[in-house]
This record gives sequence, C-alpha cells and structure tokens, in this order.
Amino acid sequence: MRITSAALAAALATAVTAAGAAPAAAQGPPVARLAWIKSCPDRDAVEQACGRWRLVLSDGRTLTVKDSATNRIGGDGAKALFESALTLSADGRWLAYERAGDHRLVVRRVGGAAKVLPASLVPKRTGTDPVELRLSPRGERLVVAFPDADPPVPARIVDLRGGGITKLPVEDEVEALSGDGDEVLVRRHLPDNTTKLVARRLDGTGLERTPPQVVMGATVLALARDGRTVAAFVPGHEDRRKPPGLRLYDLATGELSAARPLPLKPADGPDRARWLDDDRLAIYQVHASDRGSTVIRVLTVDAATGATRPSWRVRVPEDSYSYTIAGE
Amino acid sequence: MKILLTAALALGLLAVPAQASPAHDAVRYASVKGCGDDDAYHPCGFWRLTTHDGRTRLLKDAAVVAREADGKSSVYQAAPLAVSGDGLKIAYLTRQGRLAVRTVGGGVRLLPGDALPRIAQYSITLHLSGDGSRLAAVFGDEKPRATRLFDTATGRRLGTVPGAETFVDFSGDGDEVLTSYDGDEGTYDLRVYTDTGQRLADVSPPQLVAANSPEALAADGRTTASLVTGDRPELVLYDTRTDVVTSRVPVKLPAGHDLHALDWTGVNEVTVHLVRARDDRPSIMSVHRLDVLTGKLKLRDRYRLRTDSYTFAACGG
Repeated sequence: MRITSAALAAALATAVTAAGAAPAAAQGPPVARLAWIKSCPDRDAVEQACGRWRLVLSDGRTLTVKDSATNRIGGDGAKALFESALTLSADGRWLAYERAGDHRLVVRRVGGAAKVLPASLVPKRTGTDPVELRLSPRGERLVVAFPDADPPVPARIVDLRGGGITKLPVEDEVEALSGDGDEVLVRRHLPDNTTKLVARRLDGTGLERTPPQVVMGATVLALARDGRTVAAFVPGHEDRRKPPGLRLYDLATGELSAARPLPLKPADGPDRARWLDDDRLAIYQVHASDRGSTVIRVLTVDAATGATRPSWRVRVPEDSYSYTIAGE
Repeated sequence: MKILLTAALALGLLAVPAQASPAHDAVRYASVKGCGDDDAYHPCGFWRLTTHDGRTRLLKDAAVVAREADGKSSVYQAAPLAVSGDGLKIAYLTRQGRLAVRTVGGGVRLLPGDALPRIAQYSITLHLSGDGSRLAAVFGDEKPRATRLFDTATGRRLGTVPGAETFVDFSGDGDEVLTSYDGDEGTYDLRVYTDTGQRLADVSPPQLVAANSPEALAADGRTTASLVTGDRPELVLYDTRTDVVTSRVPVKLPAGHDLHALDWTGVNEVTVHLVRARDDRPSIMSVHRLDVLTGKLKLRDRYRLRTDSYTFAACGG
C-alpha cells in the first residue's frame, strides 16, 4: 500500500529547514486559530465563497493565504459549488489547502513557504470536489479523504516528515488522526449493521474492535497518542437534564470506563475534540447567537475527572462563507 | 405477539402449499376495509377475520372507527385489534368501548369497565401473547401511561410496565414482557419484566442486537432472537441476564423481502413474517418457521396483501 515519494520527502525537508532558519518573531512563530473565506452575493443574489482564505492569528492579526483557490473543481475541471479545501493543524502552525490555478494540494507553515504535494493525491476523475483534509495536531501527517465520492476513493495519509503516502482500504471512513499523528481512527460498516472502529497505522495494519453502543452513539471521538484509547463524548439529555459525558474506550482490551459527567449544559456537548497529551483533551464548542455571530470556545478537559477549564476563544467574522478551526 | 398494523393494506389469498399449520378455524389475519377518497380515506364495514381454512367471518361486535376521548367518532382512525400468535384469540374494543377477548369457536370475555383509561381509542395498541393467555394494552397518549397487562382467562389485571418504555414482545410462553428504552446516553436498552411488572433484566445490548431490531423474547424470559437482514442474513441469540451473544447462525432468507415480525413459537423455533413489496402489484406476506439451532427456514404460509384495505392485524406466530 505504501508509495514512497522521494521528491515529496526532499521538498518537505527543504520546507522544514527553511522554516527553522527563518527569524522567529518576538512571541514565537505565528499561531492560527481560525481560517475563513468571505461570502459575497453573485448576480442572482446567492451567497458564494469569494476571495482567498484568511487566517485569524492568536495575536489578533489576519494573514491572507494569497495562493489559495476560492472554489473546488469537479472531475471535468470546472468550478464546483463549494469553497476550496483547507485545514489547520491543532497547534495552529501548519495549514494544508488547495491552491489557485492548478488546484494542487499544498502544505505550509503559517507564515512560511508552501510546498506542493504530489498531483496523484487527488484523482483526476473526481477533482477536489469531494476532498476532505485533516492535519495531525503538530502537522506531521495529512489525511486526504473523499467521504462522499461515488464510486468510493480510498483515503490517503501523507507523511509530511518522511514523505511516504499510504492508501487506506477503501471501506475505511476517516474519523480523525491520533494525538501524535501515527494512527488514523476509522469506522468500518459491517454487513451485520454494526460499526467497527480501527486505529489504522501508516503501514496499513490496525487495531480494531466493535465497540459498545455508547461509543458508537457518541457524537465526537478522538484517538489518543497511544493509538488505542478512544475518548467518546456522549451527548447530554435535555429532557432528563443529564449533562454531556466522557467515556474512555480501549481498542486493545475492549475496556470501557464509567461515564464522567462534564460540567456543561445538556445541549453544550463538544462539536470537536482532540487529545493534547496523555491526560488532557481540548474540546471545541460552537456557539451561534441569534444575531448570526458565531463564537468558538475551546476548553481543556481532564480525561480522568472530566474537569474542564477555558482555553481560548475566537469569533467567526460575520461575513464569512465558511470557516475551519485549528485542529478541527 | 405482535399486532401488525399497516395503513392501506389488505389481504387476499394465494394458493398455499400444504404444511403443518395451525387449527383450520384459527385466524390468519384480521383486516378492515378502507372507503373514501385519498383525502377522506377511512375504515369502514366490519373487522374481517380470515381463517386458515380460507373462510372469512365478520367480527360484528368490534369497534371499527376509533372514538375520541370524549366519545365522538374520530372518523378516520381505526380502533385497535390484536390476534394471538396461535390465531385462537382476538382482543378488541366492543362498539360500546369495552375491552374484549374472544376465543375462536368459544365465547367472549369482557374486561372490567375500568380496564382502559379514558383516552382516544386510536391511542391504544393491543398485543396478545402467542398462546393468547396474556394481553397488553399500550397507551400512546401525550403523557406516558403505564402499559397494562391482563390475564385473558380471568380478565384480571396482572400488573403494569412503565409507559416511558416501548412494548416489544411477550415471551414465547406469555408470562414475561420485553420492552425497549432510550438510555440516558442515547443507547437502545432492553428490559424484561414478569407479567406482574417485576423487573428481571435491564441491559444495554451490544450493537449487533441494537442495530437489528425487533427482538423476540424466548419462553425462558431471558433469551432474545434478532434477525440480521441484508447481504449476509443471520439469526442472533442474546442473553439479557448475562449480556452475552450466545449464538450466531447464518440463515438463507429469500431475496427482496423485508422483515415484518419475529416471534418464538417453540423451544428452538422462531416464526418469521416477511413481506415482499412488488411494484404496482400486491405485496406478499410469507410466514416461515426458523430452526434457531440450524438456521433452516421452512415456509409455513403465504398470502397476498391487497392495497384496498385500511389496516390489518396478522397473527404473529
């Protein structure tokens, strides 16, 4: 399954060297919290993505990703309906996206130089239209998935440090990369109507198990750095006034922890989660107000106790067509 | 046993191969005709009982159009009716609104006047056990009301099970009840009760069981059977006391059929109702005996569903 791309490895080695040599800002390298693309009405007054992706940095500055595409393209090369693909790593230092012009995928450090990824990552027959990008928390790996492609297209994992590309089995539905990017958590739907979870390694092997209902019913799953512990965030129950909860599930043993209630309102369960280290997770809450403004709140959660602490927040610009949060 | 209610279905006969079958005068299914146009379609006439020997009898004392809580006719909704798995007992509401159980070839027993709450009759669903010895009255009112369990021989109320739970099945011998319940964490949980309402099991089953509803409860009051349909059909047995899948046996199901009902009819036998939908032609119901040890399927009965009837209730077993 593994295809080694020497050219890619060489290109990325250059990128890392260049970034390392770059003069560091006083507060350290720039950290992006959010990427967004503007909304503009077209001739029929229908809102469309317009312009380039922009990054909101932790210090409040905005950077424009000048070579980003506005829209995706279909297999025929024609402009597709939605905004181009872009993703930010959880540490806010890396972004991967689709560039303007030839729609090749590129990866770059925030504020650094772009490196073009192999054109073979995206099949010509699909174009970038079905592409979904995910970076590992520190930008070591990129997943290129095609969730709604018909016929199905296998997801690829790009090793951005070593340069290898792994194709996942076509039945694998990508959920998220693990905390250290060494595994991808995937779902597989079986003929008996159950769903299996697999921690897929870069060599194509995997640790797999059919989890109990409560894990598959969870709204958000995150795979820890150990490649076996899955954090399952279970939604709250408004009518019964039960708060959202966290359970840990071990893919190696099948052991399921007791539910840890989170100090949140029943409807305020996380929309995204990722592991920060071996003991803590970050959870993302999207709060949309009645007036149309959206605020993203990020909290840290102690995996052992369920205790939470506010981490950072960011407001989504009101004229955005689409946005993505660092680590989403 | 399950009451099978499907709007706009009616039943007609196909030639049925000779099989070991229930008694000749046992009821195969009950149906009510539909009258009027699409926007004013309503049940009409009498409940019709079609027996295994192919004859049809009218159940003239049974309510056909459901009444509202205040006694007025609902006009468009059918009154509830259930047939036991063996086809020998029918539970229904009389035209006066009393809960009644009739034995085929025997008499009718009226249950006490306070057997049912004063709610709209279309909010009541009836279920008879396979042997007809037990009756469950389920209430789909706005506020949850406990499901009532009756002994059909004496008419006595035996107990209740919580109304917040969904009635799934009587056990194969009728003296336990299986319910499902939405757990706090979004799980599909199963509970087993005695017919007096004492809880015997409360379990969150594995995905394999939860994803392949409905379940049928065996006479032991603990084992459920589920049928996985789709590409690789199989029969799954699950123990609600120990939370263990005890058996998975491949089953050859005829292609293009939907599972309609599943019921235990013997120590090692479940009966499977399958429906085959056909474009512009009547659907076909087929009834199969399934050996839970070998997975072998044997056709017991087959009949045609017409499109001109308001609702029907088939025997489950």
